Amino acid sequence: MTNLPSDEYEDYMSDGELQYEVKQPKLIENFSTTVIIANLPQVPESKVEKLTSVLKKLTGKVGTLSTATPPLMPMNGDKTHGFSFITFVSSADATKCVEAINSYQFDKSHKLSVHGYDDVCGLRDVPEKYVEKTARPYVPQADVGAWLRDPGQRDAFCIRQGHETEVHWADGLRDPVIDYDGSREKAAGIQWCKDRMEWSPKGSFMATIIKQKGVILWGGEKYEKLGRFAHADVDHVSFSPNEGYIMTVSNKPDAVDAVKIHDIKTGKMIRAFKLYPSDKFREEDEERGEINPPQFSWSYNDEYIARMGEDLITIYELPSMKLLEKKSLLADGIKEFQWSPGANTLAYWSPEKGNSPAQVNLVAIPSRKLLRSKNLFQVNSVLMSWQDEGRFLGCKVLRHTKSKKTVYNNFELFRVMEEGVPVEMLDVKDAVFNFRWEPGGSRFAMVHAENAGATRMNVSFYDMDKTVKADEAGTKKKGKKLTEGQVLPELNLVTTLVDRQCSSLFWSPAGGVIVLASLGDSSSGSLEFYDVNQTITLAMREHYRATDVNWDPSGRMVSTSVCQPLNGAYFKFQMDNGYMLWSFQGKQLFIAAYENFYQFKWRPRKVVLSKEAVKEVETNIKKYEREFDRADKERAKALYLEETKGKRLQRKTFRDRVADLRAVYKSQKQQRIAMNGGYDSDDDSNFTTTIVKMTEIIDTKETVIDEFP
Amino acid sequence: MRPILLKGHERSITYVDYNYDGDLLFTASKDNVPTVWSATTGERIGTYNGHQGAVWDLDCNKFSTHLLTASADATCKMWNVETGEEVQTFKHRGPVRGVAWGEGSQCFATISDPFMDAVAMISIYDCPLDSSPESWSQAPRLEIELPKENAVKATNLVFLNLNEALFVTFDDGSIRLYDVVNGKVLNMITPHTKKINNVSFNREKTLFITSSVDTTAKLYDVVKLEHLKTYKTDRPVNDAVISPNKEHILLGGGQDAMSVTTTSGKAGKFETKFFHLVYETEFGVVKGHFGPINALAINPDGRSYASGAEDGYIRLHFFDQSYINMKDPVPDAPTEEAN
Repeated sequence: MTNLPSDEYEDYMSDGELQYEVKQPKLIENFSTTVIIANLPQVPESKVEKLTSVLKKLTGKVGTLSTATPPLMPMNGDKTHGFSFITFVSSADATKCVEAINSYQFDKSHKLSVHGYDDVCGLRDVPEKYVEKTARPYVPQADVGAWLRDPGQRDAFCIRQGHETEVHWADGLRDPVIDYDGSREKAAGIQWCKDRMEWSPKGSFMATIIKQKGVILWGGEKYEKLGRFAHADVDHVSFSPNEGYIMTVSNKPDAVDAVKIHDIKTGKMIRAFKLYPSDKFREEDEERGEINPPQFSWSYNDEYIARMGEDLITIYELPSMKLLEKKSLLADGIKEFQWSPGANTLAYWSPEKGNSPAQVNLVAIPSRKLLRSKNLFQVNSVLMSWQDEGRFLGCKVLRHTKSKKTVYNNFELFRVMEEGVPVEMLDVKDAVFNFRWEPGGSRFAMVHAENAGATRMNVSFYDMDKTVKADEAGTKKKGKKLTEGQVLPELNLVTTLVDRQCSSLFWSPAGGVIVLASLGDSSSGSLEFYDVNQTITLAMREHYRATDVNWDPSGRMVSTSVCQPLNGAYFKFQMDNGYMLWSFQGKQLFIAAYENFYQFKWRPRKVVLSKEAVKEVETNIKKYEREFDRADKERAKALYLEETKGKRLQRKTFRDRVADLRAVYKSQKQQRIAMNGGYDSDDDSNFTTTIVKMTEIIDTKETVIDEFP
Repeated sequence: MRPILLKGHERSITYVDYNYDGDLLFTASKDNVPTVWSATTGERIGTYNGHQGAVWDLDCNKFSTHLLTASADATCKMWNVETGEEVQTFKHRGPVRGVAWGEGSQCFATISDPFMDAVAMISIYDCPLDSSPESWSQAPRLEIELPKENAVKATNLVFLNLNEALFVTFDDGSIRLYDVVNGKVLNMITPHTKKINNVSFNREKTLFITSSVDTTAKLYDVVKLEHLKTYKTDRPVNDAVISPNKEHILLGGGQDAMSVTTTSGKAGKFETKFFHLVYETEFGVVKGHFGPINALAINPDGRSYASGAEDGYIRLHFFDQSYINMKDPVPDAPTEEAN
């Protein structure tokens, strides 16, 4: 004990009076451990003991009863009041008791009503008189639709480059102009967005992800902060299609709130989930060494959110987030499901299992009616894809032959809107790399090649509807006479483009035009703009090393960009960063290059006009054309005047500066002449001409012309 | 018009420059042999043989009689331009990075890199051309040691203000003005964050433009050393020049020579870019080289320019009539502002 540090043991060694504290049990100052059970039978005193023991037995199953405070059953004259106080050891048990025994059928005529003691006490303090609440003063909310009323009919996009986040306007005629670049945040010394940004599906909100803290929503004319959703280590966000809700996900398998669903209007979290619906999925992922849990997905109209589980799909109603009809939808062997983008219909597929075939099922929600079920055999995998209005569902089925040695493709195409959901089949011998539906149309395109290792691809276009041509008119089909222009529900090949450099397909949101692009590491970034209506190539272009192709929501412009990943850029991604804008005909509109370029996102915009209104516009297109042309010209003129005015001033300032400098130069003239030995370098006539005569003998030859006779 | 391709050097071009009259084009290369070409026909007139190392810089005097060359063989040599004979050799302790004539061609200055235990140095020599070279002192009139901290290296030097100041650029992005009498730093500015590759002046030496690895070129006023304009690109800028008769900037560069082999020629950004001097906007490119452009020079008459690149070629371009006739994009008189 000699080496003890003196200061630490001073009290220990001191001779002072011994100080001690009596350890007393902590006084529980509230009644959270007590519940009131009401609606008990009213019994005479003789039977109280019996009733108490029955009650003890019942509540003892839920939690541990407190021995210090035994159940209490107050008397009302010679009979009990019909209620009892039960105290548990912990408040958690009390809460559990309320949940478990409330509405318990005690006997024939007594259904128990159980409440926490504290909750009941709250009722005691209700004032006698009702005081009307004063309404909170109305604070106008930011107008999240302001950008849609842009007088220039422009579209917006957001880029992330270097430390900057910028929202630009683009109209396809002039260079993009900045709308907002986070200058307010910059002035406050904050970087507007350090990580990724996302637009909401209708473009009302912009979400910036702050990895450590959560998600912030921005919107309105001045990009104000409209909401924040705390979620530590958030990895991605997902908006519901009508922007009512937002889901934040962090890839932490152990957290109880790895998935959070928030209500955007109130800003409150409405439910949290674990990352994996069950341990089976987690174990599978851990074996593969990845985190890829089944994701929640939203129904098209914000009514439901659903997630796949083991042999089932759990569907929750919004905004209550309660399990639909308190039970999950059974889906035996389910591998993947997708909501229809146009109706509350679920499509899911399950692989072969034992003797039962693989299946693709369509189920209506909330009726749970099976709309269509399709059995498939010898299936390797199924890739499902909905047409954007939910009219068609395409399933690319990769099948193997009986020997399992070779694989081939087969498309199952569901006409979802038609009676009985007819399915058409299309066999493709080639390897299929990609297929995409035309937005708002009935066509789809696919990239295929003879073998999986091919470098030159073919691109085929199919139409689910067949328009009767003039030469077919009058012929009969299934006993019915055909007329020109009639549309038949019949799958047909539109055209096949052979020998193309293409890995990805990008349909214009307006339909009709498609960009065939070869993206990725080893490819050149070639772009082909193709008009499917006229089956002609509009332009062949190239954006070297392009990683992304995006159409603007109107279908006027296409952006191609070379982006690098946000987390830890690799060397190979660091070069040629930037973006280009093209018209839908493939005319290059704009180039921007940056040292580090991360994201290019068009602000999504939903068509708000009804189909009839769109038709009306199409028939009167000439009128609108004139109107917009005039507006365009006026804007161009105003812009030109504005620019030249600024530039002229700039030029004048600069020229004045140069003139001043020249004056300084001239003031040194005499000294300079002296230095150069009398030579005036400013005098252009100050030179001497020396004529140098040069004689160059090219060749000498001696010939005897004629011998002198 | 098709450019004239000057093939004569065996290694990458380090420097190109026209003489004062604009009829000769001098080029320096890593192949040890400075060369002179006809600026109008592209014909090779002659070479200056004698260096044992890469030639980094050269300067021809105003009357085109004497040429100075700076070489990695730790010498600076003076040549007779017409005959190609070596007039004098000035020995240094390290590779000579830059050389510049003083106004009036009676003195010149060099910058040398540190080598072994020799420090980086600016040396000023006297060389009265009217006296015999044997009478010149081999020792410099003044030696200025460069700042040793951070191991910065000088990249270029120019005499300014009637030989009163020496303008030196550094690889940390700074510029210093030295007094030529006592070697004191008169002024210092830091236009760039990275190495200044080159600096060039307009004919009157009233404006200068710096080109830097930080992908920008900046225009400055010589008298007040004030920043006027910035020209932004997406590549390291190796050289930029000011057009003598148009408000234009020519700018060349490309990726770092080391990483060139990793990309295709298309993506290497080896074009000469044209910027408007005042509005800082790019309005044209000239392609052709398959390596980064190391040096640019524009003829004093403004009708042709030469670019020398890492690929070892010099391209001599003559401007089309349409370029020569080109007007400022902003009309002089406000035409429509009245309404």
